Amino acid sequence: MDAELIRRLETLAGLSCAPDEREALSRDLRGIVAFADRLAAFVEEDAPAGGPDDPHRADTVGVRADRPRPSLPRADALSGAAATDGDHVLTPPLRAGGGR
Amino acid sequence: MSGSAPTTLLAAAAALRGGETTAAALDAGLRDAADARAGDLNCFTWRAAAADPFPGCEGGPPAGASPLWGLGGAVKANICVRGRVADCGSRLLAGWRPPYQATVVGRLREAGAHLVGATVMDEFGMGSSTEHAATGPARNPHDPTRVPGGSSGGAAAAVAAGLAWFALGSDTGGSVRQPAHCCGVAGLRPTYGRISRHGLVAFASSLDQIGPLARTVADCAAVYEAVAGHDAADATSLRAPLGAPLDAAGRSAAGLTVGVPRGGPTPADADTVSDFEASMEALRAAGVTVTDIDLPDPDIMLAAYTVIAAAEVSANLARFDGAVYGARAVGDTYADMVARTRAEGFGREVKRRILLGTYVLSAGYRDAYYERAQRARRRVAAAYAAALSACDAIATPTAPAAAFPLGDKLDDPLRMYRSDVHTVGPSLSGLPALTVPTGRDRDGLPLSLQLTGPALGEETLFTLGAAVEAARGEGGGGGP
Repeated sequence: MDAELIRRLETLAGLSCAPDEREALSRDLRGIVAFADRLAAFVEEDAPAGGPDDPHRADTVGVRADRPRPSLPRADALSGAAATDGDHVLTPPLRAGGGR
Repeated sequence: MSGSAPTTLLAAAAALRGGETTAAALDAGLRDAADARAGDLNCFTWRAAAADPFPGCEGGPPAGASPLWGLGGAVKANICVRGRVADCGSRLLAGWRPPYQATVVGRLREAGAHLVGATVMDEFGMGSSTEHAATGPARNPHDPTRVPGGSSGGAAAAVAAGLAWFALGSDTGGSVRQPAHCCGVAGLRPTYGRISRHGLVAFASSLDQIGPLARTVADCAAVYEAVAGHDAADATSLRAPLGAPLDAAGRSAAGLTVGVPRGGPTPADADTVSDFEASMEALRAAGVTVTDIDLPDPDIMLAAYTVIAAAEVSANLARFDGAVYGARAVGDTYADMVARTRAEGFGREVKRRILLGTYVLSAGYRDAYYERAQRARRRVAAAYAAALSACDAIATPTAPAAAFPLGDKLDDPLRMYRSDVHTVGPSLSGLPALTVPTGRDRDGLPLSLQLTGPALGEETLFTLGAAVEAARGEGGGGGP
């Protein structure tokens, strides 16, 4: 869980963090992921991950690699978006009978 | 309110029925209390203006009216009230006004209740202290240097301080129960699907539930009775009949059985252990059998919850991209606009969980974390089901200790997450769980008991909770 991985996760998650924030998040996530590692022993008491009884084996699920793609131009992406007042999106009018 | 004024929802309802007071007088009492304390406690996102009417409540309650008739309650700021700000504690949604109403808000109004305001919360429900609220933390009415818990901390503080007769919060991993514990009020997480989530801004959809907070167990049952039940607008809503939850709070607990995890109430500090043992003694004295049961290690349940909730939040919050809701930052490309909007709009804890969720769902890590967490969740649910086949409810502390000082855990997310170590198990299992105020620690801060029941076992929880409350003397709305 280093700064490079955090940068990659930022891209996948549509976030951008400042360098000092990235460092702090990297440290926090290392601790949380280490805490989550204890799940391995717990679930493998039952059935080993990746074993013949594991319905989530990678070779049966066909996991593809995550690859960030180039972005759409801003104008194209927003062509169907709601109107704004400059800072905030304007709430569209309700269709008749659409409220509760 | 004067010394003789009612301090609980049901006492206020009785006073209205008896013609001893009016809805307007009770509302004025809430307003006076809120004028005096709401600023210091920072528990409201918005308050209803004095001129806001509550139509139909000018006379006394009609025959058969809900106990909520004429009484003011609050909702957490992630529950949509048409045309009123629902900022979810986030800068990204500052000023956002939903164009529709949550089902629970409609049901409160049908019961004759009115809203006094919306309450401060950790951003999108992520936190155990309200310190992750964009508008600053709410404070604990028992000691303003302490947190009120979270994420429904503003709701718990408002109820405990007498600024609302009740509140609706949301509970993903303990966000109703842990603040109820910190502020010394009752709080219920219902069975998954029992209360409609329509109009609740989603955090982790397989875990989120709306639940009531009130000053006593019976008050909590009255609110639950008003808002629970099937809703066609929520695809996960259950169709089971509601029964008589308020009556259940008045039934004898004698003959029921409560299970306690073998090894006792752990993790917990010494005051919490003593308080828990006193509650078990009180239950035995009420004719309840206390027996040992087996549950998984609480840290395992917390690890599974942490992974699953993060995975779901990374997907649910993807819609906050600046194109549809809330604030929008300027960027050269769509990706740039999204990244800047989210960087400026989300706080540190939300970013942490989105990145964690993205990590545990990404290629190469999904099997190691997300899939394992889901398998652990199934084992946890099976363990609760096995335990509840041998007892009517499971007793644990709600939290390992009383409310902690503001700032104490803010820089250590794992310590903050451990505030929920006792509450995540019922969340993972979709089971109802009730927090009942039971005592005080050496600093005079509230402590509580958590009772977990089988699916749709809310009535049993109200029966047992009312028995504990009566025996321990913490119910009755004494407040801080």
